[in-house]
Amino acid sequence: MMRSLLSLTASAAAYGFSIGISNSWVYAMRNLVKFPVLILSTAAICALLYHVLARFLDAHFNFLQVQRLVLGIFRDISRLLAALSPAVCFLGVTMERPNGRDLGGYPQFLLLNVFAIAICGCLSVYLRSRDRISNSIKMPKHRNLLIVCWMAASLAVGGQVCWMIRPFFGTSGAGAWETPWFSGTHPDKRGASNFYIAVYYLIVPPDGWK
Amino acid sequence: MTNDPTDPPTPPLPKTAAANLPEPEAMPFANGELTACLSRPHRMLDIVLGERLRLAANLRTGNNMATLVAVLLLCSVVFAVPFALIDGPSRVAHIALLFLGSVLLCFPSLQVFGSYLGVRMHPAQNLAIALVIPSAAALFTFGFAPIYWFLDFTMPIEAGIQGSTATRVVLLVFSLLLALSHLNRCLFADKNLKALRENWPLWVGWQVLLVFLTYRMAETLDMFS
Repeated sequence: MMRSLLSLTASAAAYGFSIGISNSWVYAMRNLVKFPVLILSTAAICALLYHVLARFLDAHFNFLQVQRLVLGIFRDISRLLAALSPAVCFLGVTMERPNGRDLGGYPQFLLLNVFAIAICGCLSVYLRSRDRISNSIKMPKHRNLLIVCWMAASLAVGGQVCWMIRPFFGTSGAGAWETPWFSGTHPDKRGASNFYIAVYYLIVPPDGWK
Repeated sequence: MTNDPTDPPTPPLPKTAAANLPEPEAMPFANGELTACLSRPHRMLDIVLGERLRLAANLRTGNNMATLVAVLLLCSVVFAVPFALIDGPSRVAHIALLFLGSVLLCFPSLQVFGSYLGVRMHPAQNLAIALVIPSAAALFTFGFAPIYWFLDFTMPIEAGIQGSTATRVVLLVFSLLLALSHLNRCLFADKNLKALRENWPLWVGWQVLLVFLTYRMAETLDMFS
């Protein structure tokens, strides 16, 4: 489990660095810490729920086995993302910089990363559910449902963790060492004060934003 | 990636012909297993959520009903506390009141309507069936508690209704719906629990009543503010 944790941390740090470099060296260096924190704190906050859901869906795992499995999924996602780091790094450095209300190449970069995370997540979950979970849950539909529930919980919580410890890259000017590490509950440019409102504003932009 | 030596092995299940044999009927929980929950509360998770066929066997046979009812009552109260505590010590009993109170208010209707419609079950069995809902809901709120704490802690106060109230309501609705689905899985997984299955309009109607009463209870307990 220790090796797995170290691998997860290193991979997450590598990917964090590559997205941070799209803004500045400051963000890139800070992401070496922030991205692993994001993943590990999400897993910690959801740990109890993962276990309750596993028992609810007939998975014969104890608490530690559940945590190992979930950490395994996160580790695989991190490794896959780390493998994309050089490409992401290149795209981040070469993207058109945001300027005022013109977001430049930022939305595409954001979309690409969301897409990459989704692909890596699906792949990791597929491999895990095929190789590891299949032996412990009799009904295939429960297997898939359990993974979907785990990931949905992680997404809902991870989004808010992400919001609290942002910025990872973002549209603000190049980060300086004096800027705070975390924006916390400070509203973003569009006025969203938490992750869920921010998602809502992405779908229905407030007046004056496109 | 999937052959990492650090990964724990998972126990294999029998395959092929053995897997096709009909499953033996689940054994009800023995009195000792149920009372063991008092010293090891984490076992309640297994009894209420993890081994639903055995739980259903208890409900069907009526074995150890007094102990089972006591365990379910205890589970409904104890596991609801962590979630309730996040709203402050003054609201420590609110979640238990919300789920357990609503079920206890609806229980007489299940018993009386059931007996009129030919569901021949002992009141203790009906009570145990009904108590699966608050106990399962309490376990789900227990799982949601760290998430609720985190979201409550990180949502700014000025977000008002969009913040912690909405989070609480969403998580409690999820808990109730999952608990209802769990009870239905318990009852409908056991082929011998025909009584309620054959009277599904009663069962559906009672659950609708329970959901409505829980909503009113939430209003009364000021859960929406």
